[in-house]
Amino acid sequence: MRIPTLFLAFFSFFISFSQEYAVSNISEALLKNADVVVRLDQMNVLVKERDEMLVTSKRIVTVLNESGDDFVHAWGFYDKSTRITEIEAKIYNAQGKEIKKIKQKDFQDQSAVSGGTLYSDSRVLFMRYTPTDYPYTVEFTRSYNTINTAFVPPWFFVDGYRVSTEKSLYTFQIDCGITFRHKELNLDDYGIEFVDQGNRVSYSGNNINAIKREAYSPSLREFTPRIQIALNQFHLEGVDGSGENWEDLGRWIYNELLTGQGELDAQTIQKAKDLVANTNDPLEKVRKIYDFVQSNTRYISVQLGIGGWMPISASEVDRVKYGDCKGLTNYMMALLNAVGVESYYTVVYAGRQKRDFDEGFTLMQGNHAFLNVPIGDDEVWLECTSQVTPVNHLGIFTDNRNVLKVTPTGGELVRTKAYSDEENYQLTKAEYFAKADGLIEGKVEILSTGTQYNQKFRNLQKTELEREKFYKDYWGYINNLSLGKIDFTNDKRTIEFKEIVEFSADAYLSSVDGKLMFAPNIGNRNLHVPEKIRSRKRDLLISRGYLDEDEFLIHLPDGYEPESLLGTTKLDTKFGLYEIELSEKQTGILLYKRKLLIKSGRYSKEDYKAFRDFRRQIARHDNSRIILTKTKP
Amino acid sequence: MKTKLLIIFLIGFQITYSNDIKFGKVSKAELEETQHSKEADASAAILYKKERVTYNYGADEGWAMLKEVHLRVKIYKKEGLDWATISAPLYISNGDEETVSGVKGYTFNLVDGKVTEEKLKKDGIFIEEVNKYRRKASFTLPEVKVGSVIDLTYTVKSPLFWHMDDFWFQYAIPVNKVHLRLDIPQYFVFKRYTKGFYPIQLNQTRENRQINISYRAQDDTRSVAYSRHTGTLDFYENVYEVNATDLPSLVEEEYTNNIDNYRAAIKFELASTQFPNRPYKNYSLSWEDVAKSIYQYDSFGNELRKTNYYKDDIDQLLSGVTEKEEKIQRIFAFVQFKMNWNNFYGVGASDGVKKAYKEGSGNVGAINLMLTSMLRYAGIKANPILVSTKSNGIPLYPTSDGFNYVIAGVEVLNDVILLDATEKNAYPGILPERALNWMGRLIREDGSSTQAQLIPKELSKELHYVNATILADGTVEGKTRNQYTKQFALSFRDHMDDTDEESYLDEMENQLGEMEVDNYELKNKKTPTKPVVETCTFSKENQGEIIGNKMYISPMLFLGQKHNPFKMDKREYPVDFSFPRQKKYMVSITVPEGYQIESIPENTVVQLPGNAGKFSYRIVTKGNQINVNATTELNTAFFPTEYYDALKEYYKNLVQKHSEKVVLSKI
Repeated sequence: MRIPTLFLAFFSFFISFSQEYAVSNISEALLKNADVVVRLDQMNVLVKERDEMLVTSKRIVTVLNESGDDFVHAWGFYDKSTRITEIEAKIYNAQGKEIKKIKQKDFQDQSAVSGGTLYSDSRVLFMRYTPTDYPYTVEFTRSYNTINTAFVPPWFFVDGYRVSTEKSLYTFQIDCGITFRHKELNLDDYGIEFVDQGNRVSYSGNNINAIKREAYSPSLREFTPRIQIALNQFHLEGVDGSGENWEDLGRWIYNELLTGQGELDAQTIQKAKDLVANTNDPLEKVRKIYDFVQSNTRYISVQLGIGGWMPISASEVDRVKYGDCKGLTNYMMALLNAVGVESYYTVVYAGRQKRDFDEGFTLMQGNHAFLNVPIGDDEVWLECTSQVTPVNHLGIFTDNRNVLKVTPTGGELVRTKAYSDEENYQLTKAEYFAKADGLIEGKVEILSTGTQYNQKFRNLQKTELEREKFYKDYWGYINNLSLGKIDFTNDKRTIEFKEIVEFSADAYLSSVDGKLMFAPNIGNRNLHVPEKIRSRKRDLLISRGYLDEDEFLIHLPDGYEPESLLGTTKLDTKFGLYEIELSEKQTGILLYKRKLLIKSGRYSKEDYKAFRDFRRQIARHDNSRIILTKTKP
Repeated sequence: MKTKLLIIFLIGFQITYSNDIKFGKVSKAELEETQHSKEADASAAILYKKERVTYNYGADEGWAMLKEVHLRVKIYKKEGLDWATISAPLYISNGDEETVSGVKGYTFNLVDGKVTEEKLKKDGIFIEEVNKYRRKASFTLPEVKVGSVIDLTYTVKSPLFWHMDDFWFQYAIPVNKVHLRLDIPQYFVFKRYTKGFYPIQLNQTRENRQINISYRAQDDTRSVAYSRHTGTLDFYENVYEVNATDLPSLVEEEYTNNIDNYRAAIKFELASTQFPNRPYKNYSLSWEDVAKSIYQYDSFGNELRKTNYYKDDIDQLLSGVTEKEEKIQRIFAFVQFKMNWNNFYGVGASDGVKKAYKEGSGNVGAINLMLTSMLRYAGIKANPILVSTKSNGIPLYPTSDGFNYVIAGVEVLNDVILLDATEKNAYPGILPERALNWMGRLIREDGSSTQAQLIPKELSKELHYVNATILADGTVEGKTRNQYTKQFALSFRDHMDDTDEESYLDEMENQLGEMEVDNYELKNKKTPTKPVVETCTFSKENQGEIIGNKMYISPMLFLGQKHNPFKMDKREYPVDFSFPRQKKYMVSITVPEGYQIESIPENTVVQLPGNAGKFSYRIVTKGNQINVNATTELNTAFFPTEYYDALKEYYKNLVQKHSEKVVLSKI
């Protein structure tokens, strides 16, 4: 193999560690709260041509206990466009003595088809080593080359929680004159050094202590140091691309990946037209076409070469009636186009944890595609991989984040809808009948909207057994729960889900000393108390808020009256509002009213304790009981 | 040049059964159906599953197995759409590969009252190279929507004639009709085992068969030339058939050891072969055969006999020791400390005991055979016990495949002491939970074997002492001492190995809800033979509920059973608790000044039928002191389905009793 000398000089520059792998050489500070210590993490990226990138890395990890095994990261992905040229690992014991060498042929070779994907040509070589003793150290070296320069490996100085880093080095160099952009985040907070030499940038970090996980925390990537790099002219699976800003990148996606994929045959176009024949209202048209797509297609993911980024053609999806997110979104777009409704293919980071496309840094990214339909001043969003999601319901999958809308004139960063705290609403109305033998019977009506709709509407598809399990978990605090009739109404237009559930529970009221004792909050207790954190390090983040309102009518057992009522409680905090009120509506009937508002927002780390206190009090009040005594004759 | 296979099927093959469902002939009724007739909420159903296994002989390739599959699936709901993708494993062994061919598939839909069909094309067929040993063929059908019926057929050709995957008759969705037929030449003798809760009838008949074969042979005895000859071969075949209808869906439940144990299925295991002009070759038939054949494995018998590699170490370890007990303890502790389990199972020592001993690590076979061998060397009557782990299912019949694990057993009087040195926190008599599966098979050196009960007979115990004081605001403060024995101790120690003390305390505080824990101490963590003991002081707010001038407090405090683990109305499968257990709570409470004890819960004893378990609750007061003595006991680990209602009721009463309150009133 012919290797240019420049390349040799560049890549032979690995830090020599010699026999310093012994655990005793690790400082106390790095061991604290750590499952693993990354002794050295080094990567050199060299772009030789627009379609040739060489990546060489060395990673030395000392694993202190079993939880640390996941951070060894001794693997290499490859496919037709990416070739692994070297992969090797050595294992050292706690004293730093080499105990095993694992060569390329000893790496396990298997397909890297991830869950949810039917087929892809991606494969992975990974090290199979079962540690016999902790701590142990793995020295892992790997080199690969790829034609895909659209994705320059990003760099993270912190690999995860409970991981400390002794030394982390990253170098990026470009030898073919293409301009590139780089973005650094949170470098200063961690003392990361950065050298910019024009066509070469390098970074080094030292002694980064392990970080403990905290509940209600911003994501790790938000506050730890990391580097992003993007080429202004790149290559992707046989296609050249470019884009220094979102507009240009979007235009490239449109021209190279979408154009020509939207053709449909005349018959299908006619079918689409027939579907909307009775309406001129664009939103109505969207509903009809979306309904057609939802009832006729299914999600199947096949990722091959450029197919990982380019949707399969609309006519192909039309024939087989399945596709991945790109294919189904593109198909939906083509059908809408056939009936004169304009819509835009949109790329997003989907997932519960919100992740934005960065306004200040353009980069080929995202893990999902969905559809944007502007109607008047409104933006309507369509999730095309689901057969059940209503029109314009983003849920927690794609809400409130920057996404890339791809239009013929270029890309555009837009923000998806944010649900307000009050929109994530649940109203529970119930009527209960309590008996002197402890039994309680009742009928509960629950209405849910917003993200609370998101949590509930799939109940519709559940089997009887799954429903039983769901409600027995939902009301897990009620022992001996037995379910009666369950009814659902799913209004896809208003995006409201209504459950009507009948239930009874033996021994809900307990008999103490001739009196009866029970908690009037029967139908909706919020017992979650955030974990105690001894010294909170990071901001408190409540990413989504919600509002619950409850109204329970409780018929007391004959011959009993309340000894005392709970009285009114009101907790008004910056994190939300909690109000309960128990009153005697008429003799023998109590009315329990409750309101709980949790406000989304970002609060200081000092606020965490107060937030936890707030939740503790809620849990306590939701559990609190009243006493019934026999009515005096 | 490869000779083309020439096979004449004399009988049997061309017969179509009246009940046969023909590929591609889907009825309108099947398409019109909107829900399953027996299980209304099924998302899909297998309307028909046919598997047809035959053997063919090729001059160059020898015997090969053909498995022809026909599957017809109906989609009732959107969640059922996943059933429009069907996959099959293709195994690879020493260069022999299974291949798939003859893939045909159609999706049938009803469009405006008319039946339409859409063909499965090449772009819906995928062969994935999973790893060195396995490929996966996936077929995804086009135009599938709610209401569709898909019909799929394919054939797997396998040179691995000795291996058959289990034939399944039950899935997560209902199965309407199954037809399985295997025609196995007399040369192969398979043992058949049906399993599962749902009875399956396997019919066996015999049919004659003749095949034309071509072979190479010397032209005559003096000639050196070989040429191709043809001839016929007459033999009989054993024909096995299953015809079953309406098999319910298989649903996972909690506290089930392994759902596969309950799936209706048939297993074919090769027992022997007898090819023409070849010696009879036995694989396994009886427990004695299994024992013998496993003993004959190089990785088993031979490894067990080796002593040289440890001789000196053991001599030194046992010098001066005469007591048998002491010898067992020492050897066990020695192996447990020296050897590290590499997380691989196996009845044999995969890389040999010697290498394992040198490296200090090995699979289950290496470690426990080494242990057995050392015990024997020390003059102790020790034998290996073959085990099937929970994940491997229950071995109900003599089979060597059925075992995937081995432990050591020392026979004493009427008992066997079980030893597993792969587990750092175990000790003689205590096995890790993975091995607590039903019965093991103890194999003696002479090849005789016997069943060994793996599930512990003795109770594992948890003991909780609490000494507490209630304050006037409802806060409870005090000291607690928890003690764990046997299996409880093992899992407690395992858990403590995975976490540091600080995280454990956080966990404990969060779990017990709002508790402050201090002065934590842990004893005997590293001495598995002793009960592990933890002590701490605690403080917990709002433990007493103050209503008016009364205070209500559960004398179990934060202990006891809070929820019924069995919430579901019905249960299909037995409940497996892994081991019998006892939990004991001794709580002593001092009431706050200014309060007097007004009432206390009643004493009670509740029994499970057949002495399978009981709980008792005794409470007494003395001055301003309350003393509770509560015990729960399950004397058996395994409860048949019939017990479910009793078990649920038992827990209901237990939860209720443990939540009962003491009433204190202001003086």
